[in-house]
Amino acid sequence: MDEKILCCQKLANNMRREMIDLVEYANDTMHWGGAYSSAEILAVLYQEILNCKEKNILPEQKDKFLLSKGHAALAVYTVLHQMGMLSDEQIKTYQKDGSCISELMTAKKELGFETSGGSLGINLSYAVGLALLAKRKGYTYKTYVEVGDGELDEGAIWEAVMSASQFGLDNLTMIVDANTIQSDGPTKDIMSWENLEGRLESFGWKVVSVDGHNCKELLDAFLNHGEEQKPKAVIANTVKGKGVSFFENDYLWHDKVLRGAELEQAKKEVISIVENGF
Amino acid sequence: MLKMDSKTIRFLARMGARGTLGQAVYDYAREGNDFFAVSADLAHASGFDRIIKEYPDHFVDVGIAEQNLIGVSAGLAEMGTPVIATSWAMFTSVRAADQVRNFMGYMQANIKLIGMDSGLIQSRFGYSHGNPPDIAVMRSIPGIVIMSPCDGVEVYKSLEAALKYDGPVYIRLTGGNLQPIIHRDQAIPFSIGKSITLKEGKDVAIAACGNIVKNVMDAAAVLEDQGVSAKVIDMHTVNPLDTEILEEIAKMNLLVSVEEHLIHGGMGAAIAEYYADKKVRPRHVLAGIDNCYPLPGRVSYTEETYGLSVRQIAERVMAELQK
Repeated sequence: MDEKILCCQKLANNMRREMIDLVEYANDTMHWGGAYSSAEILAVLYQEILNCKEKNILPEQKDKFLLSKGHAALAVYTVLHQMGMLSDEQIKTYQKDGSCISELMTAKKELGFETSGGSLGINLSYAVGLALLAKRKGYTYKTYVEVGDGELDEGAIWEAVMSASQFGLDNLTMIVDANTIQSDGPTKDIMSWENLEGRLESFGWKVVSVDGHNCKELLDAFLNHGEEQKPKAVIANTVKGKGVSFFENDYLWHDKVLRGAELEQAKKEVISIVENGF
Repeated sequence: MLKMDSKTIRFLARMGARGTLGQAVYDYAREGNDFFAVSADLAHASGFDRIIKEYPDHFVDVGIAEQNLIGVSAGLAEMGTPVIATSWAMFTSVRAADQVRNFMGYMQANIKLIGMDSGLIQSRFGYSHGNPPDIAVMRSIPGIVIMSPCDGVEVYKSLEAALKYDGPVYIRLTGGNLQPIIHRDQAIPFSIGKSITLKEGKDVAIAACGNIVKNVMDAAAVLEDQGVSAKVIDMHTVNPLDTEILEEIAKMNLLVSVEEHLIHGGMGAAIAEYYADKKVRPRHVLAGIDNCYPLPGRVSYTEETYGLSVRQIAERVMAELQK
């Protein structure tokens, strides 16, 4: 178990490092805050939970991961690259004209991008449909969808939340990257989701709340089988921009160009994390 | 509101379309006018920082909830107070279309809905934000004034006109943080529904709206060098359409409409619909994005891919003139 956890943390740290390396290919701003808060979530999912790395797996068996907060695409590209599912050549086309490795996630199933994210609020419904399909047809895949806490403002999220429990989708997991900051500032000031556990529970969900940078807590939450007939929500309490001191908890680093002294500083910090851990 | 001298014109160009939006709303507030500024988690991007600070009772942030944005704005506008509501153009149009149709269309709520970063500027994020069909969506809803200003002066003037106008308006902002300067004349005659002829010409008329007017002006200069005299029309209002100018150019040989929008349902389509039953009309070529989702990329790349660069516009006109 400890070995697995260590491996996930290492993966998350390498992702943070590689996201900085991608500055070299970028044409414009990059979405840092939400990608860095998601590193452990994605590392644990891809390393330990999703079966999508198995070769020749049938679509009826292959777990689905939807990045609804498409603004964290950077984190998905780096996890896929670190896991060998995106090639060096492919990741170098990040932000390049005409490349589908775009700043926000654009659906490309053959590359493992199951959906288009970024138009916020629409992918939980898609996940409900996928999970319902598996139920009706007896397919074995599980469906995971990551949403942002700002994204919870969208009404369509709550339509999907209601329908997931109505349909008894215990094969569906929603991960909320609760980094507490959205574009205009702290979520509690813009549109509070206080007592999210209670809100989701009252809608018929099984809810687990964890430290979203603690791989062990995340893994336990994903492995926890939850309750029969109930969809599961994992509330990952995270720090926006986690890993680079000046990204952390600063909404201005939601989407910004990283260059010059700041780039050097960020590089130094992520290299130190890779070498020495947090 | 600001007077347009050359310094202000340069200032607005540097502010970008969204900065100009914030400036216009701020100036409107400073004159003591009643208003609400409402945003869907894009207050900073809308240039509303000074509004939040100095007029907090006039500001509402509904979070990332564009449908809620329109409903809440309609309620706030109930007694006639103008409400400036902002989000990215994709979400003011396709996401909130039902709310827009009910509250702004049928019920005529006094909302000035601002679709920010329309056109190709956000194509670099991917198709989820790039090339919204906002003109098409708004044109499909009767009763809404639709404006697509081409530079800082015009963004400012269109907001000023929208705030004076009692009724629903959609303003489509295009371009990046630096706006081209099209209008240098300090007293531009701006009014809703009345196009502005930027350049006279006799061989071809080119009608455009939004940020792409700059490419059209540059293309007209290229054409001039090649002996082709192009009339350039800044069609800043798509609804109501300036039919007077369309009658004026009806006898010309060729009209080319150019827009940073799908050809379907856009400004060019509005012109084509007007001419459809007319006996006298120019041959009309529609340039824009033809029935596809632009690939992700920078504006220069996207323009080039869909034939909207300066060189391509000029070449297209030349080719059409020779047909």
